[in-house]
Amino acid sequence: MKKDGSLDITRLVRGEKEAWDFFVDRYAGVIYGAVRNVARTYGRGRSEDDVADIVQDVFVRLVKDDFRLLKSYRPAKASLITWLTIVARSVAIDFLKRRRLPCEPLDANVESTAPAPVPAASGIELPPGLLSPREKLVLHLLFDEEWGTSEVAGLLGIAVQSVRNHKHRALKRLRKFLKKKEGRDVRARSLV
Amino acid sequence: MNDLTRKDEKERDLWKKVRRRAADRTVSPCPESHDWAAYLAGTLSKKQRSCLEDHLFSCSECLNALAEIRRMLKEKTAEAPEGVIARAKELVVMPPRREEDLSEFLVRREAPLWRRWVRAAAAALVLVSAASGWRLGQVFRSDQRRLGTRVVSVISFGVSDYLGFGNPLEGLDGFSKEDDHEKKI
Repeated sequence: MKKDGSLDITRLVRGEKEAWDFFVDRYAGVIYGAVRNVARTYGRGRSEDDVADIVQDVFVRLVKDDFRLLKSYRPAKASLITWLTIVARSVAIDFLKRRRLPCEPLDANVESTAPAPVPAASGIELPPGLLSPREKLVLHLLFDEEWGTSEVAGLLGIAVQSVRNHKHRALKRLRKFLKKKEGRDVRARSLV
Repeated sequence: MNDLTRKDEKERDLWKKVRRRAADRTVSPCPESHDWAAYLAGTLSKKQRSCLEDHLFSCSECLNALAEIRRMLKEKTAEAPEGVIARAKELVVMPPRREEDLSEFLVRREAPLWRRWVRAAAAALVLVSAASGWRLGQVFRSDQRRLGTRVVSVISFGVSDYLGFGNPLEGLDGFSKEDDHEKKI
């Protein structure tokens, strides 16, 4: 623990007992919460003992091979809570797969690491760079996944108004592109 | 259908005209957990963020995972049971604080007492074997020289026996096999 009451990562990854105990006291709840969440979502019939085992597995992975996983954490990139939540979720899913606990029919998350198959192509090909990845993602979430604007904003970590702006700009560009394309197609047909 | 819904439908149709082709491409490899942590924390550069969002557009698995993690982060931190905390703390052991305790701790860690005794006894046995073997080798050599035969230097009777030179004791008085050897010569 530092003088200001925050966690001293350097001492923690050196294996100092005091720093480790402080870390466990402070972050066990974060790990426990994430694991319990995954067990509730994916592990049907899991007991409190299973959750405790998974939490212990997360801690073991953190200290394993001379704190290799903990050493990979970069405080400048993200908060420890965010990083631990991601790690705990991932370990919990691995654990449920390994133990073959009765699982809910999972989405592709646990059953397969391969991305979901994409439907066969039949639309108009967009020129590269016409829409930014964020604009495409916003339109995909709003129109294909049927998410609400606030849900999209929550996922991307931006304001609701920003989502609307992205949507508006993207659609405007699409309209312009399609109008131009139609004009070209009409000209080509008249030439034939 | 009100105006707003009609407008929404038009927009959806517009997107549908292009979306399939847009989604029909190779999906990039799924990013690592520290990439997602940085994405969630908003510390990625614009280019890095675009790469991740481009991946999200075509990978439903990562999209669902990200939505789930966002949800988890919004929830109030849970309280871990005492047993879970105690078990996790045991993973890192407290070293002794006082120096004299530390030296004793290091010695104990180096090797337990019984193992040190076994090692000492083994070392003594090796020394005794080597010394007696060398002495027997000397006797054997002088005896061979006396008989005028070619002598194979023997360090210990164990080795010589193994190599098929026979027991060096056989060369001494009273051992019949050496007599046979003499007869052969």
